[in-house]
Amino acid sequence: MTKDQPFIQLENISMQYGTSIVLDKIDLIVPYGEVFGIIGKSGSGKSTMLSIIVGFLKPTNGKVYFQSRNIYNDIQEVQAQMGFAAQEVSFYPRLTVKENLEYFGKMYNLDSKQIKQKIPELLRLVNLEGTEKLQGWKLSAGMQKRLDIACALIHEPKVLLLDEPTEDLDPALRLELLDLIKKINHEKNVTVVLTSHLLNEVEYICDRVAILHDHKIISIGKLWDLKDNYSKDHEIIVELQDRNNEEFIKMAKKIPSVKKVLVRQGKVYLYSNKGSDILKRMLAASVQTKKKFNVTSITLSKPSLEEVFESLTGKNNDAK
Amino acid sequence: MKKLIEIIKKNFRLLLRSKTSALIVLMGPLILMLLIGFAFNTTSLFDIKIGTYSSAYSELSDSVVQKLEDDQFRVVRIDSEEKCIDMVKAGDVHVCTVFPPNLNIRTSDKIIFYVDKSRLNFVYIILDRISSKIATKSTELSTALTNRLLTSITNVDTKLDTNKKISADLELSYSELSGLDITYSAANISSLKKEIKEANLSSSKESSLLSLVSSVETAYSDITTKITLISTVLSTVNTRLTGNINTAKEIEKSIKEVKDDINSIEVKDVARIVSPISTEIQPIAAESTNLSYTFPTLVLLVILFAGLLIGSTSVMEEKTSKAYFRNFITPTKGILFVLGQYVSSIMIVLLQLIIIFTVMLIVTQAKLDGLILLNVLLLLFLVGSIFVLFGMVIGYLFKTGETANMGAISIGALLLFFSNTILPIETLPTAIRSVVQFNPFILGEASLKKILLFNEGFSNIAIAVYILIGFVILLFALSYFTRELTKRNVS
Repeated sequence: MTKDQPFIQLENISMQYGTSIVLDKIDLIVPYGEVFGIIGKSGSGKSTMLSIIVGFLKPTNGKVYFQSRNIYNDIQEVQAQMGFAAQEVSFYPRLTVKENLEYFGKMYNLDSKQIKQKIPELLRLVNLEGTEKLQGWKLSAGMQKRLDIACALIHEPKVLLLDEPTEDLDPALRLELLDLIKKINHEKNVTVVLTSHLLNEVEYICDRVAILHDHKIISIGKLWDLKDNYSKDHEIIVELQDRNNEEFIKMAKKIPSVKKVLVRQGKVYLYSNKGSDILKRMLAASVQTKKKFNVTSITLSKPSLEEVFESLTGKNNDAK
Repeated sequence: MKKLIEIIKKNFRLLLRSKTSALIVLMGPLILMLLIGFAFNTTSLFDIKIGTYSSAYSELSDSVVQKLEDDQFRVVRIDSEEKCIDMVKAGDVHVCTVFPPNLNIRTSDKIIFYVDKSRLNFVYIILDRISSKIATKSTELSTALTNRLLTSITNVDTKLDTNKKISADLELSYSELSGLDITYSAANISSLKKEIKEANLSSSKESSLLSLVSSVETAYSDITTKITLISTVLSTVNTRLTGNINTAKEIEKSIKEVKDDINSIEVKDVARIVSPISTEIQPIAAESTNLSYTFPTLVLLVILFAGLLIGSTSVMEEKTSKAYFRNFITPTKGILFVLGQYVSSIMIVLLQLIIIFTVMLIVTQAKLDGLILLNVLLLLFLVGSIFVLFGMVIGYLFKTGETANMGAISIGALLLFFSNTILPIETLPTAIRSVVQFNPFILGEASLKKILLFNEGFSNIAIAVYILIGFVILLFALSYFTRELTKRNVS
């Protein structure tokens, strides 16, 4: 299987609960071996899409193919090749780490010998060595999340589906988990499909992204392609020492090539198709003797996924 | 099979790790059974208070009150009828008995009982006991009255025997009277007088003789007159006697009929007249304690609530568990999870039953042969399965533990209420009864009684067993479909 082949394919998928439409004519292809991100606002249907891929929910319309086979022809065969970690951890808190892995191993048709071999290897991978005899509820939030992923990996799936994997975790644990996902993708060659509304994380980890808006996929592609397609501008991030942003913004808006100025978390974001010129002007301004603004950092980059998302879905969204 | 064993193993691990749940699930029904067993071991009533009132107690009403005062009943004499009724309402006395003033056997006044019918079975038990006490007194009185009546009849019979010869005596008298000869030859006094005259007697002699003859003639005339009178009287007497004889014969005939009637009464024994039909209650099962009779009901009661609650609780535990979702996305058929849940729950119920039966057999020292035990196990397994599966359906159907528990208890109460435990199903309208007879509680209880109390074989409970098997299949399918239909609520 190569990276360009459709590994998972959603064809004209619609999902409706009564009159409420959750997914509307979704077409999606997930290539083999990638980390694929699905981003969208809360309630846009991201989790439903994963539930459909894993065969938990059956769509109102459309078909799902896994390795070119309709998954509903033999759902159990497909489920045996997929691992899923939901937004909330899904294991038995009163069973030990080992018992949970043994139980789900059996449910995934593994025999005792295979399970015995896989457990140490898996615990090493998710960094839970030494916790075999601990009951699930005694683990920390990060450890629980890792155990949940271990449960999803016990049968060595070809696909790992992760629904908002870093939700409710602190920044350190988030980074740790994202690295673990990367590691699983690289070391085990597992195709990962994850959903998130934390765009910086998606940007950090995903090779390809689909943007879900109003129950439809409005854009799909590799990260850089998306950025190029939806914005030829550069993003200049300026951080001021005294945070005298208002004066700085007034000044920036006077520059003809600056198309848009935004403030996020105390930083000023400038968007321009002449990013290098702006950067030069900013650097010059920061070294002037009678400098008006005390600039502590300036970054020039392509626009973030956040910018792409905003330009595609409008500003009033809860995606950060 | 390996998956099924793993699911069951997991269920038991989870149950045992939650110590409180394990204790409640395993020990709860056993403690319940123990308490019920002690409480229902006897049918005796204790400390029953009867209020009595009469505006004028008679000897009879006093004796009835005395009869009621025994070990079971405490009789309280109350000042007024209203107060007596109020005391029933307040629960101070269980029954208020109002005797009519100067109650005696000649009056047809009734003794009135005021009862609190809201206490259903209890009221009927008390009334039954009081009625039996009063019936004893009533029998005593009836015996005395009958005795007197019988004595009078015997006296009449004896006296009738002595008056039996009236007609014969009268006939004899008639015969004697009829035999009397009062005929006589007429005396010729005028010839005598003529002869005297012709006899040429001295005139003095002649006149003295004629004078004598005249006096004789007078006397003779008197006698003939009297004889004529006697003859007339005799004739009248004879006529009357004939009439009396006929009357006497009719009386004798009537007396004979009366005697025949009296003699036709076959039963002259007082006790048999008072209670002409003798009854004796013979138990169809060997004599035993009340606990033995109520044991099948108690066992069913434990299975009912244990099954329903274990079924619903285990499903609810699984449903609310974080891992529930993951089970749906494993390549394991849904039916296997339902089966695993059912097997785990029924194992707990069977474990409880084994403990209950072991304790019961030790306490009563009863001996059950292998075949009976096998039938009992089969029956209890089926009934237990029904209640467990019922509980599981409730568990899958409801969203929270609280509502599931409410649902399980409500279903349990419904099945219990429409059984013979609280009210006999015979008291229900026919239409409802025709449905209620398929209540698994009733089917199980009746079959268990047949096996345990009457030692009946499988053939006698076969129909009930087939119906129960039908229930098991139906409820298992229902459990599976409910799980599948409600899985959308999981994610």
